[in-house]
Amino acid sequence: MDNRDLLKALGGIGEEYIREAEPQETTPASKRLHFLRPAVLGSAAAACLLLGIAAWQSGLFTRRENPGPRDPAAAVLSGEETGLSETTADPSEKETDPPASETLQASEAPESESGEPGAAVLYQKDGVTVRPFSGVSDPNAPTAQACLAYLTEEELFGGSFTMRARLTDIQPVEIINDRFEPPLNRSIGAVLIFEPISVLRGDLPDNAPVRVYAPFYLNTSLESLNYSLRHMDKGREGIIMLYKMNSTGYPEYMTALADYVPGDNQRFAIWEMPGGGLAFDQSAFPGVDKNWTLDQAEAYARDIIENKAPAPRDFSVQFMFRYSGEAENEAVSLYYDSRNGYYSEAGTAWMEEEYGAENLETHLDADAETLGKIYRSCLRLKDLPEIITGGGSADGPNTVTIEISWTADGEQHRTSYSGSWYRDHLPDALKLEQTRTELLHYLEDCEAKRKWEAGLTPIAAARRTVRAEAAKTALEAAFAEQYGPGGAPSWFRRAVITEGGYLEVWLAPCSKANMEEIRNLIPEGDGLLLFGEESGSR
Amino acid sequence: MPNADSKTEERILTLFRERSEEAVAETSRRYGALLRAQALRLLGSAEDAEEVENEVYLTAWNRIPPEEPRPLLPWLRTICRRRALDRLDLRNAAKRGGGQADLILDELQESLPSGDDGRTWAERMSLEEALNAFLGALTPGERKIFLQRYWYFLSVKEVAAQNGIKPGSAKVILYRLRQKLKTFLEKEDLWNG
Repeated sequence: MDNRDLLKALGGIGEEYIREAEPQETTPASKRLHFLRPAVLGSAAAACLLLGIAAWQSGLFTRRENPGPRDPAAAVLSGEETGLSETTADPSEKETDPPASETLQASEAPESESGEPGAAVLYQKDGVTVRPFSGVSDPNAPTAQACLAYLTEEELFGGSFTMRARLTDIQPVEIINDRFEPPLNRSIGAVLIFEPISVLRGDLPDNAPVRVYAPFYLNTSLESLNYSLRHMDKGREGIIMLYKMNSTGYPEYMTALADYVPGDNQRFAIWEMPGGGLAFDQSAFPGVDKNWTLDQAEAYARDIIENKAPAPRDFSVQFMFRYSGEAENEAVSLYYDSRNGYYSEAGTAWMEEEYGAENLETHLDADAETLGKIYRSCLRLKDLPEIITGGGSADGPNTVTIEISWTADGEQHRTSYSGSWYRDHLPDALKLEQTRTELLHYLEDCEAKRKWEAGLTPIAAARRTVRAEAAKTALEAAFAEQYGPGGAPSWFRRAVITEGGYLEVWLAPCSKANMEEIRNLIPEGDGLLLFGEESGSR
Repeated sequence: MPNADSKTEERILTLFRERSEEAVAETSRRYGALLRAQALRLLGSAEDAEEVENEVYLTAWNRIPPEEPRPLLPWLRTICRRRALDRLDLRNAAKRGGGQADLILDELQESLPSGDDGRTWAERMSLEEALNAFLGALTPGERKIFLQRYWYFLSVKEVAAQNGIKPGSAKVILYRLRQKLKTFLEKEDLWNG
C-alpha cells in the first residue's frame, strides 16, 4: 500500500461521513454575491449579477411562535477568501511537523460553537439572539443576492433622514434566528455609531450619536461591490442617508440595537476619503463627482433635497434571498405591512395563507437552484399602499413567479408575472404609474418592463442613457481592440441598452477575472447592469 | 416545506431513467459547479476539472439505470473524486500541476504504518473497512476536518475556515489525525507494506 492507495481507499467510506463533512460552498467577494438569476439564455447558464446588492436579511423579521432548536454552527473567522481558483497549491501549507509551540485553544476544538464564547447577549427574545461578533468575515452566513432598488439621487438624498456625520464606531453583531434552519438562521450585521455634524433632512433633536443597524455587514457578497460598507472606516466622515425605524415597522431586535437603518446598504453613504476625493456608488449618484470635497457633496445634496426630492415617505421592501450554502435553498419572501408592522414568513407559509395549501405545489418549485434566485423588489408608491405583499416561487428551472398584491385607495390590486423571463406584463402595477420595482431588470423581453421603464423620470432615464451609450461604445471598442472587429470573448453574450437607460451586459458562466475585465472596461457607475455568473459559484 | 434537494434529485433520476438528454443538462445545472470545484481542488487545472466533470456525467448516464443512487450528490461526488484521482495517476509524477494532490499525498504518507509482517490485505480487513472504522472512532468535528482535507481536498486554509479555526490549528489537528490513523492501521495489523 502506498499513499495513493490510502487516498483512493478513502473514496469508499460511508456515504453518511461524506455528507456530514460536505463543505459549505462560500461566495467569495464579487462572486455570486450580487447575483440574480433571472433566466437562462438557451442552454447557457447565464445568471444575473448586479452592481449593487440589497442587504436586507429576511431572517431579521421573524416572529415565530415556537422557535426550533438552535444550531451551534461554528463561527467562521477566516479573513481570507475561500473561493476556488485555478492556482498552484501553497507549498507552505504542507505540514510535516507541527509547530512545537502550537497548541489548540479550547475554542478552536472541532466542536466549538459559534459566536464568542461567553460574550454578552445583546438581545434575546422570540427565538432571536444577538451577540457581539469579532470575526472579519463569515462565508457561512447567508448571503443576500439581490438587486438593489434603483433609487434616484432625489430618492436617496431625500430619505427620511440624511446627515453629514463622522463614523465613530463599528460594532459587528451576530444574529441567530431560530425561525430558520441553518445556515439561514445566522447572519452578521453591524451597529454603526455616527457623530452627527449637520442634518440635511430629518430631525435630530438632541444631536446625540446616531445608531444605525447595517444588515449583512460581513456578508462576503458585499465585499467588492458594496461601496458604502466597503469604504466605511472609523473616523471617516460622510453624507449618510438613513431611514428612521419605527416600533411597528421593524423587528424588535433591530430597534433595540439602533434607531436608523440604511435605505440602501450599498448606497447609504458618500465617504470622504483620506487623501481627498469621495467614495460612493457612482451609478447611484451620477451627479456627484468623486473628486469633490465633502463640502461640495453636501451642498449638492442640500440642493437636491430642497429643490427636487419628494417628501419623505416610507417605502416597502420585499426580497427573497438565497442560502449561502448548498444544503437548503428556499425561497423566502418577506411580508411588509407598513400599517400593522412587519414580519417575515417563509415562502410556503405565506403562500399557503394566500393561495391555500392545495396550490402550494404550483407556487413552489423544489429545484433548489431556482429557489436560490433572489429578488428584491423595492416598491415605492407615491400613494403608499397599506399592504404590500409579495413573494416568489418557481414553476420550473430558471423561471420564477412573482406575486405582488397591494391595497391603494381602498382597492385591492394583485398582479403576478411569471414564466421564463417573466413574459407576463404588469398591467395593474402600471396603473400606479410611479410603482418602482427592481424586478424590472429581469423582465427580459417583457412588454410591461419596457412600458415601466418608459415611465421613469426623464432626468433619471436620460442621465443613465447617456452614460450607458458611452459605456457600450467603450466596451465594443475594447473588445474590437482585443478580439478584432466585431469580436468578443467567448464568455460574452450581449450588451443592450434598456429603455430605462441601463446598459445590460450578459455573460455566460465565467471567471471572476472575466467579470472584473468587464468592469474595468466600463467607467464606474455608468448605469451598468452586469449579468453573469462566476464559474463554480453554485 | 418541500425538500428541494430530494425533489430535484428525483427529477434528475427520472430524466436518466427516461434516457432524456435533459438529464445531463439538469445535473450540470444543479451540481456542475460543485463537481468542478471538487476536481479543481485536487487537480489544480480548470481544464482537467471540466473533463472530470464530463466523465462524471458519462458515468452517471451509463450507470443510471439500473443504479438508483439516493442521495444523488454524494454518489456523484464519489465518482468525481475517483475520476480526479485517476487523472492524477495519468499525470507525470514529476509534474506539479497545482491543486492539492501533491500536498495531500505527502501528508498521507505519514499515515502509512511502518512494519511489515508479510500478510496481505486479503487476509485482513479491507483498507476501506479500516478507514470506515477509523473514521467512526473520531469525533464528528475531527472526522469533518479529516474528510474535508482528504476526501474533498480542501486546502488547509479552507478547512480552517470551514471549521472556524486558525490554519495553524487545522494543521495541528490534521497532523494528529494522520498520526492517529497510522497508529490505528498499525494496531489493526492491516499493513502489508
